[in-house]
Amino acid sequence: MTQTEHDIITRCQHGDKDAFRWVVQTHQRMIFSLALKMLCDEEEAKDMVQETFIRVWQRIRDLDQQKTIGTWIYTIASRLCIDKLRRTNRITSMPEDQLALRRFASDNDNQRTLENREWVSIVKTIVEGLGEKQRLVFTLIQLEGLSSAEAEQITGFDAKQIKSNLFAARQTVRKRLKELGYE
Amino acid sequence: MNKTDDILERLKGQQPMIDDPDALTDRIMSSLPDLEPSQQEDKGKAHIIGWRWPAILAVAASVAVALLLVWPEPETNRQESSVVAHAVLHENPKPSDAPSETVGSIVRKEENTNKHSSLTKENHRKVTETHKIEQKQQVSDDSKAYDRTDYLPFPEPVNEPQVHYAAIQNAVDTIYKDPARMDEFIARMADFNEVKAVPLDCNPGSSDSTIVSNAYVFDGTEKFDVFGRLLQAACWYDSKTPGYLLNFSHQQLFFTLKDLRKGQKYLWIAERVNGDRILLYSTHSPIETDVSSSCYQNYREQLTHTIFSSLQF
Repeated sequence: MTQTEHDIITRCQHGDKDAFRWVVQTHQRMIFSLALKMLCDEEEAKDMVQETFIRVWQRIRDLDQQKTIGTWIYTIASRLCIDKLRRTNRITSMPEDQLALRRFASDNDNQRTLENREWVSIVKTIVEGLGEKQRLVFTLIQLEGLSSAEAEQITGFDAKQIKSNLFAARQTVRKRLKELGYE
Repeated sequence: MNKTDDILERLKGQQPMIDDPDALTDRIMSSLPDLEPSQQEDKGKAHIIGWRWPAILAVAASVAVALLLVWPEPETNRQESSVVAHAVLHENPKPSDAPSETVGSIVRKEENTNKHSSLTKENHRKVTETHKIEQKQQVSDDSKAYDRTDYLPFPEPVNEPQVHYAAIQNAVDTIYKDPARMDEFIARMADFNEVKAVPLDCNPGSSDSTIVSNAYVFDGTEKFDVFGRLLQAACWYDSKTPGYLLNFSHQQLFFTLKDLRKGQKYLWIAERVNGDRILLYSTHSPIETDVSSSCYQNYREQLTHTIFSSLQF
Protein backbone atom coordinates (compact mmCIF):
# COMPACT_ATOMS: atom_id res chain seq x y z
CA MET A 1 0.00 0.00 0.00
CA THR A 2 1.37 3.38 -0.98
CA GLN A 3 1.64 6.27 1.44
CA THR A 4 -1.20 8.05 -0.34
CA GLU A 5 -3.46 5.03 -0.03
CA HIS A 6 -2.45 4.66 3.57
CA ASP A 7 -3.38 8.27 4.30
CA ILE A 8 -6.70 7.94 2.53
CA ILE A 9 -7.61 4.73 4.35
CA THR A 10 -6.73 6.35 7.64
CA ARG A 11 -9.05 9.24 6.79
CA CYS A 12 -11.79 6.80 5.80
CA GLN A 13 -11.36 4.99 9.08
CA HIS A 14 -12.08 8.28 10.80
CA GLY A 15 -15.33 8.56 8.86
CA ASP A 16 -14.18 10.91 6.10
CA LYS A 17 -16.57 10.35 3.19
CA ASP A 18 -14.64 12.62 0.85
CA ALA A 19 -11.67 10.33 1.19
CA PHE A 20 -13.90 7.33 0.64
CA ARG A 21 -15.16 8.88 -2.59
CA TRP A 22 -11.61 8.56 -3.88
CA VAL A 23 -11.64 4.85 -3.00
CA VAL A 24 -14.94 4.39 -4.82
CA GLN A 25 -13.83 6.29 -7.91
CA THR A 26 -10.58 4.36 -8.07
CA HIS A 27 -11.98 0.87 -7.68
CA GLN A 28 -15.57 0.94 -8.89
CA ARG A 29 -14.72 0.04 -12.46
CA MET A 30 -12.81 -3.11 -11.59
CA ILE A 31 -15.60 -4.21 -9.25
CA PHE A 32 -18.19 -3.46 -11.91
CA SER A 33 -16.17 -5.51 -14.36
CA LEU A 34 -16.01 -8.47 -12.01
CA ALA A 35 -19.69 -8.19 -11.09
CA LEU A 36 -20.85 -7.89 -14.69
CA LYS A 37 -18.88 -10.96 -15.71
CA MET A 38 -20.07 -12.91 -12.69
CA LEU A 39 -23.73 -11.90 -12.65
CA CYS A 40 -24.26 -11.23 -16.37
CA ASP A 41 -26.63 -8.34 -15.75
CA GLU A 42 -25.65 -4.69 -15.90
CA GLU A 43 -28.12 -3.39 -13.33
CA GLU A 44 -27.37 -6.21 -10.92
CA ALA A 45 -23.70 -5.51 -11.41
CA LYS A 46 -24.22 -1.86 -10.45
CA ASP A 47 -26.22 -2.91 -7.41
CA MET A 48 -23.40 -5.26 -6.51
CA VAL A 49 -20.84 -2.46 -6.80
CA GLN A 50 -22.97 -0.35 -4.50
CA GLU A 51 -23.41 -3.16 -1.98
CA THR A 52 -19.70 -3.92 -2.07
CA PHE A 53 -18.71 -0.35 -1.26
CA ILE A 54 -21.28 -0.11 1.50
CA ARG A 55 -19.70 -3.21 3.06
CA VAL A 56 -16.24 -1.76 2.53
CA TRP A 57 -17.28 1.45 4.25
CA GLN A 58 -18.85 -0.39 7.16
CA ARG A 59 -15.76 -2.53 7.68
CA ILE A 60 -13.08 -0.04 6.75
CA ARG A 61 -11.92 0.06 10.35
CA ASP A 62 -11.15 -3.65 10.19
CA LEU A 63 -8.85 -3.24 7.20
CA ASP A 64 -5.36 -4.38 7.89
CA GLN A 65 -3.25 -1.70 6.27
CA GLN A 66 -0.58 -4.25 5.43
CA LYS A 67 -2.94 -5.59 2.75
CA THR A 68 -3.76 -3.99 -0.56
CA ILE A 69 -7.13 -2.29 -0.46
CA GLY A 70 -7.87 -3.38 -4.02
CA THR A 71 -7.46 -7.03 -3.09
CA TRP A 72 -9.61 -6.54 -0.03
CA ILE A 73 -12.40 -4.91 -2.03
CA TYR A 74 -12.15 -7.67 -4.62
CA THR A 75 -12.52 -10.23 -1.82
CA ILE A 76 -15.69 -8.61 -0.53
CA ALA A 77 -17.13 -8.29 -4.04
CA SER A 78 -16.26 -11.91 -4.88
CA ARG A 79 -18.03 -13.21 -1.81
CA LEU A 80 -21.10 -11.12 -2.50
CA CYS A 81 -21.16 -12.32 -6.10
CA ILE A 82 -20.89 -15.96 -5.03
CA ASP A 83 -23.72 -15.46 -2.52
CA LYS A 84 -25.82 -13.83 -5.20
CA LEU A 85 -25.14 -16.62 -7.70
CA ARG A 86 -26.15 -19.21 -5.14
CA ARG A 87 -29.47 -17.43 -4.59
CA THR A 88 -30.34 -16.87 -8.23
CA ASN A 89 -31.22 -19.29 -10.94
CA ARG A 90 -28.60 -20.80 -13.16
CA ILE A 91 -27.47 -18.44 -15.89
CA THR A 92 -28.15 -19.86 -19.34
CA SER A 93 -27.36 -18.39 -22.69
CA MET A 94 -29.90 -17.69 -25.41
CA PRO A 95 -29.36 -18.03 -29.17
CA GLU A 96 -28.83 -14.25 -29.47
CA ASP A 97 -26.05 -14.49 -26.88
CA GLN A 98 -24.33 -17.07 -29.03
CA LEU A 99 -24.66 -14.72 -31.99
CA ALA A 100 -22.80 -12.03 -30.05
CA LEU A 101 -19.97 -14.47 -29.45
CA ARG A 102 -19.96 -15.40 -33.11
CA ARG A 103 -19.70 -11.73 -34.12
CA PHE A 104 -16.88 -11.20 -31.66
CA ALA A 105 -15.01 -14.29 -32.83
CA SER A 106 -15.29 -13.35 -36.49
CA ASP A 107 -14.29 -9.73 -35.89
CA ASN A 108 -10.69 -9.17 -36.88
CA ASP A 109 -10.40 -5.94 -34.95
CA ASN A 110 -8.50 -6.95 -31.82
CA GLN A 111 -8.71 -3.47 -30.37
CA ARG A 112 -12.48 -3.25 -30.46
CA THR A 113 -13.99 -2.46 -27.09
CA LEU A 114 -16.92 -4.63 -26.23
CA GLU A 115 -20.13 -3.03 -25.11
CA ASN A 116 -21.59 -4.18 -21.83
CA ARG A 117 -24.45 -6.11 -23.40
CA GLU A 118 -21.93 -7.90 -25.63
CA TRP A 119 -19.92 -8.77 -22.57
CA VAL A 120 -23.00 -10.19 -20.92
CA SER A 121 -23.86 -12.30 -23.96
CA ILE A 122 -20.35 -13.61 -24.47
CA VAL A 123 -19.75 -14.46 -20.83
CA LYS A 124 -23.17 -16.08 -20.57
CA THR A 125 -22.30 -18.27 -23.52
CA ILE A 126 -18.84 -19.37 -22.54
CA VAL A 127 -19.24 -19.92 -18.80
CA GLU A 128 -22.44 -21.92 -19.02
CA GLY A 129 -22.06 -25.03 -16.94
CA LEU A 130 -19.36 -23.76 -14.60
CA GLY A 131 -19.79 -24.03 -10.85
CA GLU A 132 -19.50 -20.89 -8.70
CA LYS A 133 -15.94 -21.50 -7.58
CA GLN A 134 -14.72 -22.43 -11.04
CA ARG A 135 -16.52 -19.43 -12.41
CA LEU A 136 -14.93 -17.08 -9.88
CA VAL A 137 -11.42 -18.38 -10.50
CA PHE A 138 -11.95 -18.36 -14.27
CA THR A 139 -13.31 -14.79 -14.17
CA LEU A 140 -10.51 -13.47 -11.98
CA ILE A 141 -7.64 -15.08 -13.88
CA GLN A 142 -8.87 -15.63 -17.40
CA LEU A 143 -11.19 -12.67 -17.88
CA GLU A 144 -9.84 -10.08 -15.44
CA GLY A 145 -6.25 -11.02 -16.10
CA LEU A 146 -5.17 -11.33 -12.46
CA SER A 147 -2.31 -13.56 -11.41
CA SER A 148 -2.79 -16.83 -9.56
CA ALA A 149 -1.24 -15.29 -6.46
CA GLU A 150 -3.75 -12.44 -6.51
CA ALA A 151 -6.59 -14.91 -7.03
CA GLU A 152 -5.35 -16.85 -4.01
CA GLN A 153 -5.44 -13.73 -1.86
CA ILE A 154 -8.88 -12.73 -3.10
CA THR A 155 -10.58 -16.10 -2.88
CA GLY A 156 -8.71 -17.54 0.09
CA PHE A 157 -8.08 -20.72 -1.91
CA ASP A 158 -4.64 -22.28 -1.85
CA ALA A 159 -2.52 -22.63 -4.99
CA LYS A 160 -3.67 -26.19 -5.60
CA GLN A 161 -7.34 -25.25 -5.44
CA ILE A 162 -6.79 -22.31 -7.79
CA LYS A 163 -4.96 -24.51 -10.25
CA SER A 164 -7.52 -27.30 -10.19
CA ASN A 165 -10.51 -24.96 -10.46
CA LEU A 166 -8.92 -23.03 -13.31
CA PHE A 167 -7.99 -26.21 -15.14
CA ALA A 168 -11.49 -27.64 -14.80
CA ALA A 169 -13.05 -24.33 -15.87
CA ARG A 170 -10.86 -24.07 -18.95
CA GLN A 171 -11.67 -27.63 -19.91
CA THR A 172 -15.39 -26.96 -19.61
CA VAL A 173 -15.14 -23.72 -21.58
CA ARG A 174 -13.14 -25.39 -24.36
CA LYS A 175 -15.68 -28.18 -24.53
CA ARG A 176 -18.48 -25.65 -24.62
CA LEU A 177 -16.86 -23.63 -27.40
CA LYS A 178 -16.16 -26.79 -29.33
CA GLU A 179 -19.83 -27.69 -29.13
CA LEU A 180 -20.62 -24.27 -30.57
CA GLY A 181 -18.31 -24.90 -33.50
CA TYR A 182 -15.12 -23.19 -32.39
CA GLU A 183 -12.01 -25.29 -32.76
CA MET B 1 -3.35 -20.49 -31.83
CA ASN B 2 -6.76 -22.08 -32.23
CA LYS B 3 -10.02 -20.17 -32.18
CA THR B 4 -10.85 -20.99 -28.56
CA ASP B 5 -7.53 -19.73 -27.28
CA ASP B 6 -7.84 -16.70 -29.49
CA ILE B 7 -11.25 -15.83 -28.03
CA LEU B 8 -10.05 -16.29 -24.47
CA GLU B 9 -6.90 -14.31 -25.10
CA ARG B 10 -8.81 -11.41 -26.62
CA LEU B 11 -11.20 -11.32 -23.70
CA LYS B 12 -8.40 -11.29 -21.16
CA GLY B 13 -7.97 -8.05 -19.34
CA GLN B 14 -10.71 -6.12 -21.14
CA GLN B 15 -12.91 -4.25 -18.73
CA PRO B 16 -16.51 -3.29 -19.38
CA MET B 17 -17.28 0.40 -19.06
CA ILE B 18 -19.66 1.98 -16.60
CA ASP B 19 -21.94 4.17 -18.71
CA ASP B 20 -22.01 6.94 -16.13
CA PRO B 21 -19.31 6.45 -13.49
CA ASP B 22 -20.05 9.73 -11.72
CA ALA B 23 -23.68 8.79 -11.30
CA LEU B 24 -22.69 5.43 -9.85
CA THR B 25 -20.21 7.09 -7.50
CA ASP B 26 -22.88 9.54 -6.34
CA ARG B 27 -25.34 6.71 -5.89
CA ILE B 28 -22.85 4.80 -3.76
CA MET B 29 -21.88 7.84 -1.74
CA SER B 30 -25.48 8.80 -1.05
CA SER B 31 -26.28 5.30 0.16
CA LEU B 32 -23.41 5.10 2.62
CA PRO B 33 -24.58 4.93 6.19
CA ASP B 34 -22.88 7.10 8.74
CA LEU B 35 -20.31 5.09 10.56
CA GLU B 36 -22.25 4.10 13.62
CA PRO B 37 -21.26 5.94 16.75
CA SER B 38 -22.13 2.68 18.46
CA GLN B 39 -18.92 1.31 17.00
CA GLN B 40 -17.06 4.06 18.73
CA GLU B 41 -19.33 3.63 21.70
CA ASP B 42 -18.63 -0.08 21.74
CA LYS B 43 -14.97 0.66 21.75
CA GLY B 44 -15.58 3.13 24.57
CA LYS B 45 -17.67 0.61 26.45
CA ALA B 46 -15.06 -2.05 25.89
CA HIS B 47 -12.55 0.36 27.27
CA ILE B 48 -14.76 1.13 30.25
CA ILE B 49 -15.35 -2.58 30.83
CA GLY B 50 -11.65 -3.06 30.44
CA TRP B 51 -10.84 -1.00 33.49
CA ARG B 52 -14.12 -1.42 35.36
CA TRP B 53 -13.79 -5.12 36.11
CA PRO B 54 -10.34 -4.89 37.64
CA ALA B 55 -11.54 -1.89 39.63
CA ILE B 56 -14.58 -3.83 40.89
CA LEU B 57 -12.39 -6.79 41.75
CA ALA B 58 -9.93 -4.52 43.55
CA VAL B 59 -12.74 -2.92 45.57
CA ALA B 60 -14.22 -6.33 46.37
CA ALA B 61 -10.82 -7.59 47.46
CA SER B 62 -10.22 -4.57 49.69
CA VAL B 63 -13.69 -4.96 51.25
CA ALA B 64 -12.94 -8.62 51.88
CA VAL B 65 -9.64 -7.74 53.52
CA ALA B 66 -11.33 -5.06 55.62
CA LEU B 67 -14.02 -7.54 56.71
CA LEU B 68 -11.39 -10.07 57.63
CA LEU B 69 -9.60 -7.48 59.73
CA VAL B 70 -12.77 -6.24 61.41
CA TRP B 71 -14.40 -9.65 61.67
CA PRO B 72 -14.53 -10.86 65.28
CA GLU B 73 -12.29 -13.64 66.36
CA PRO B 74 -13.89 -17.11 66.84
CA GLU B 75 -13.54 -16.68 70.63
CA THR B 76 -15.53 -13.47 70.55
CA ASN B 77 -18.03 -15.15 68.30
CA ARG B 78 -18.58 -17.85 70.86
CA GLN B 79 -19.02 -15.24 73.59
CA GLU B 80 -21.59 -13.45 71.51
CA SER B 81 -23.36 -16.75 70.92
CA SER B 82 -23.52 -17.35 74.63
CA VAL B 83 -24.86 -13.84 75.17
CA VAL B 84 -27.53 -14.48 72.62
CA ALA B 85 -28.32 -17.78 74.26
CA HIS B 86 -28.46 -16.04 77.59
CA ALA B 87 -30.89 -13.50 76.31
CA VAL B 88 -32.99 -16.29 74.89
CA LEU B 89 -32.96 -17.97 78.23
CA HIS B 90 -34.28 -14.80 79.82
CA GLU B 91 -37.10 -14.65 77.38
CA ASN B 92 -37.87 -18.33 77.78
CA PRO B 93 -38.16 -19.03 81.50
CA LYS B 94 -37.35 -22.76 81.32
CA PRO B 95 -33.70 -22.93 82.24
CA SER B 96 -33.70 -26.68 82.85
CA ASP B 97 -35.29 -27.55 79.55
CA ALA B 98 -32.18 -27.55 77.53
CA PRO B 99 -33.62 -29.15 74.38
CA SER B 100 -36.55 -26.72 74.32
CA GLU B 101 -34.08 -23.91 74.96
CA THR B 102 -32.14 -25.17 72.07
CA VAL B 103 -35.27 -25.43 69.98
CA GLY B 104 -36.33 -21.94 71.12
CA SER B 105 -32.98 -20.52 70.34
CA ILE B 106 -32.98 -22.28 67.03
CA VAL B 107 -36.45 -20.91 66.29
CA ARG B 108 -35.34 -17.45 67.36
CA LYS B 109 -32.23 -17.81 65.34
CA GLU B 110 -34.30 -18.89 62.38
CA GLU B 111 -36.56 -15.89 62.93
CA ASN B 112 -33.49 -13.73 63.17
CA THR B 113 -32.16 -15.39 60.09
CA ASN B 114 -35.45 -14.82 58.29
CA LYS B 115 -35.49 -11.22 59.44
CA HIS B 116 -31.91 -10.94 58.39
CA SER B 117 -32.63 -12.52 55.05
CA SER B 118 -35.67 -10.30 54.50
CA LEU B 119 -33.55 -7.35 55.54
CA THR B 120 -30.86 -8.60 53.25
CA LYS B 121 -33.36 -8.93 50.40
CA GLU B 122 -34.66 -5.45 51.17
CA ASN B 123 -31.13 -4.13 51.25
CA HIS B 124 -30.33 -6.03 48.11
CA ARG B 125 -33.38 -4.51 46.40
CA LYS B 126 -32.36 -1.04 47.58
CA VAL B 127 -28.81 -1.64 46.55
CA THR B 128 -29.98 -2.92 43.17
CA GLU B 129 -32.23 0.12 42.72
CA THR B 130 -29.43 2.42 43.75
CA HIS B 131 -27.14 0.60 41.38
CA LYS B 132 -29.69 0.95 38.57
CA ILE B 133 -30.04 4.66 39.27
CA GLU B 134 -26.28 4.96 39.26
CA GLN B 135 -26.14 3.02 36.02
CA LYS B 136 -28.77 5.31 34.50
CA GLN B 137 -26.81 8.32 35.67
CA GLN B 138 -23.70 6.73 34.27
CA VAL B 139 -25.44 6.10 30.93
CA SER B 140 -26.84 9.61 30.82
CA ASP B 141 -23.41 10.93 31.74
CA ASP B 142 -21.95 8.79 28.98
CA SER B 143 -24.54 9.95 26.48
CA LYS B 144 -23.84 13.52 27.55
CA ALA B 145 -20.20 12.84 26.96
CA TYR B 146 -20.98 11.51 23.49
CA ASP B 147 -23.34 14.38 22.85
CA ARG B 148 -20.60 16.72 23.77
CA THR B 149 -18.46 15.35 20.97
CA ASP B 150 -21.05 16.80 18.59
CA TYR B 151 -20.03 20.23 19.73
CA LEU B 152 -16.36 19.63 19.32
CA PRO B 153 -15.07 22.16 16.87
CA PHE B 154 -14.40 20.62 13.47
CA PRO B 155 -10.77 21.11 12.56
CA GLU B 156 -10.38 24.07 10.31
CA PRO B 157 -8.84 23.32 6.92
CA VAL B 158 -5.22 24.24 7.14
CA ASN B 159 -3.43 25.64 4.16
CA GLU B 160 -0.45 23.42 4.57
CA PRO B 161 1.09 21.96 1.45
CA GLN B 162 1.41 18.48 2.96
CA VAL B 163 -2.32 18.15 3.66
CA HIS B 164 -3.80 15.51 1.41
CA TYR B 165 -6.00 16.81 -1.36
CA ALA B 166 -8.92 14.79 -0.01
CA ALA B 167 -8.97 17.23 2.91
CA ILE B 168 -9.50 20.19 0.66
CA GLN B 169 -13.09 21.28 0.43
CA ASN B 170 -13.98 23.04 -2.77
CA ALA B 171 -15.98 26.11 -1.95
CA VAL B 172 -17.75 26.61 -5.26
CA ASP B 173 -19.30 24.74 -8.12
CA THR B 174 -18.65 21.22 -7.00
CA ILE B 175 -22.19 20.05 -7.59
CA TYR B 176 -22.34 21.08 -11.22
CA LYS B 177 -23.87 18.30 -13.25
CA ASP B 178 -24.13 18.81 -16.94
CA PRO B 179 -27.79 18.55 -18.04
CA ALA B 180 -26.55 17.37 -21.43
CA ARG B 181 -25.76 14.07 -19.77
CA MET B 182 -29.45 13.38 -19.64
CA ASP B 183 -29.48 13.58 -23.44
CA GLU B 184 -26.46 11.31 -23.60
CA PHE B 185 -28.24 8.83 -21.40
CA ILE B 186 -31.34 8.98 -23.60
CA ALA B 187 -29.23 8.50 -26.71
CA ARG B 188 -27.62 5.41 -25.19
CA MET B 189 -30.96 4.08 -24.07
CA ALA B 190 -32.35 4.62 -27.56
CA ASP B 191 -29.34 2.93 -29.08
CA PHE B 192 -29.73 -0.01 -26.76
CA ASN B 193 -33.36 -0.38 -27.76
CA GLU B 194 -32.61 0.31 -31.41
CA VAL B 195 -34.83 3.38 -31.39
CA LYS B 196 -33.89 6.20 -33.71
CA ALA B 197 -34.05 9.86 -32.78
CA VAL B 198 -36.47 11.83 -34.93
CA PRO B 199 -35.32 15.45 -35.23
CA LEU B 200 -38.22 17.88 -34.90
CA ASP B 201 -38.16 21.36 -36.32
CA CYS B 202 -39.91 23.35 -33.65
CA ASN B 203 -39.39 26.80 -35.15
CA PRO B 204 -40.04 26.36 -38.84
CA GLY B 205 -39.07 29.37 -40.84
CA SER B 206 -36.87 30.92 -38.19
CA SER B 207 -33.86 28.79 -39.13
CA ASP B 208 -32.77 28.95 -35.51
CA SER B 209 -30.24 26.16 -35.26
CA THR B 210 -29.75 26.69 -31.54
CA ILE B 211 -32.98 24.85 -30.77
CA VAL B 212 -32.43 21.12 -30.83
CA SER B 213 -35.49 18.92 -30.50
CA ASN B 214 -35.74 15.20 -30.85
CA ALA B 215 -38.46 12.63 -30.40
CA TYR B 216 -38.06 8.97 -29.61
CA VAL B 217 -40.71 6.30 -29.66
CA PHE B 218 -39.95 3.42 -27.31
CA ASP B 219 -41.68 0.14 -26.98
CA GLY B 220 -43.80 0.61 -23.86
CA THR B 221 -44.05 -3.02 -22.89
CA GLU B 222 -42.79 -4.07 -19.52
CA LYS B 223 -39.57 -5.62 -20.71
CA PHE B 224 -37.85 -2.25 -20.65
CA ASP B 225 -38.91 0.26 -18.01
CA VAL B 226 -38.42 3.56 -19.85
CA PHE B 227 -40.07 5.68 -17.18
CA GLY B 228 -38.07 4.00 -14.47
CA ARG B 229 -34.79 4.54 -16.32
CA LEU B 230 -35.60 8.16 -17.06
CA LEU B 231 -36.57 8.78 -13.49
CA GLN B 232 -33.37 7.14 -12.31
CA ALA B 233 -31.35 9.43 -14.56
CA ALA B 234 -33.35 12.49 -13.50
CA CYS B 235 -32.82 11.68 -9.85
CA TRP B 236 -29.09 11.92 -10.37
CA TYR B 237 -29.54 15.70 -10.53
CA ASP B 238 -29.76 17.66 -7.35
CA SER B 239 -33.12 19.31 -6.79
CA LYS B 240 -31.23 22.57 -6.28
CA THR B 241 -30.00 22.49 -9.88
CA PRO B 242 -31.19 25.63 -11.68
CA GLY B 243 -34.47 25.16 -13.45
CA TYR B 244 -35.05 21.80 -11.79
CA LEU B 245 -38.63 20.67 -12.16
CA LEU B 246 -39.60 17.03 -12.08
CA ASN B 247 -43.07 15.55 -12.32
CA PHE B 248 -43.62 11.92 -13.00
CA SER B 249 -46.04 9.06 -12.86
CA HIS B 250 -46.13 5.66 -14.48
CA GLN B 251 -47.70 7.26 -17.55
CA GLN B 252 -45.85 10.55 -17.81
CA LEU B 253 -42.58 12.26 -16.97
CA PHE B 254 -41.85 15.96 -17.22
CA PHE B 255 -38.37 17.20 -16.42
CA THR B 256 -36.64 20.54 -16.93
CA LEU B 257 -33.17 21.84 -16.13
CA LYS B 258 -31.12 24.91 -16.86
CA ASP B 259 -27.41 25.05 -17.50
CA LEU B 260 -26.27 28.47 -16.37
CA ARG B 261 -22.74 27.79 -17.51
CA LYS B 262 -23.69 27.20 -21.10
CA GLY B 263 -26.83 29.33 -21.03
CA GLN B 264 -29.04 26.44 -22.09
CA LYS B 265 -32.41 25.22 -20.92
CA TYR B 266 -33.52 21.63 -21.25
CA LEU B 267 -36.89 19.97 -21.35
CA TRP B 268 -37.83 16.29 -21.47
CA ILE B 269 -41.35 14.98 -21.74
CA ALA B 270 -42.17 11.31 -21.85
CA GLU B 271 -45.67 9.98 -22.07
CA ARG B 272 -47.45 6.82 -22.98
CA VAL B 273 -49.30 6.96 -26.28
CA ASN B 274 -51.56 4.39 -27.86
CA GLY B 275 -51.15 2.25 -24.79
CA ASP B 276 -48.08 0.36 -25.90
CA ARG B 277 -45.66 3.11 -26.98
CA ILE B 278 -43.77 5.72 -25.04
CA LEU B 279 -43.08 9.00 -26.74
CA LEU B 280 -40.07 10.85 -25.42
CA TYR B 281 -39.54 14.44 -26.44
CA SER B 282 -36.24 16.11 -25.73
CA THR B 283 -35.34 19.71 -26.48
CA HIS B 284 -32.70 22.20 -25.47
CA SER B 285 -32.16 25.78 -26.49
CA PRO B 286 -30.63 29.02 -25.22
CA ILE B 287 -32.31 30.14 -22.03
CA GLU B 288 -33.75 33.34 -23.48
CA THR B 289 -35.20 31.62 -26.57
CA ASP B 290 -38.90 30.88 -26.71
CA VAL B 291 -39.57 27.39 -27.96
CA SER B 292 -42.89 26.43 -29.40
CA SER B 293 -44.30 23.11 -28.32
CA SER B 294 -46.45 22.83 -31.43
CA CYS B 295 -44.01 20.54 -33.21
CA TYR B 296 -44.16 18.10 -30.32
CA GLN B 297 -47.94 18.30 -30.20
CA ASN B 298 -48.16 17.74 -33.92
CA TYR B 299 -45.92 14.75 -33.74
CA ARG B 300 -47.92 13.40 -30.86
CA GLU B 301 -51.13 13.90 -32.81
CA GLN B 302 -49.63 11.96 -35.67
CA LEU B 303 -48.75 9.13 -33.35
CA THR B 304 -52.16 8.93 -31.76
CA HIS B 305 -54.33 9.48 -34.80
CA THR B 306 -52.48 8.03 -37.74
CA ILE B 307 -51.34 4.61 -38.62
CA PHE B 308 -48.29 3.98 -36.59
CA SER B 309 -46.36 2.19 -39.30
CA SER B 310 -46.68 5.16 -41.64
CA LEU B 311 -44.58 7.35 -39.42
CA GLN B 312 -40.98 8.04 -40.17
CA PHE B 313 -38.64 6.90 -37.39
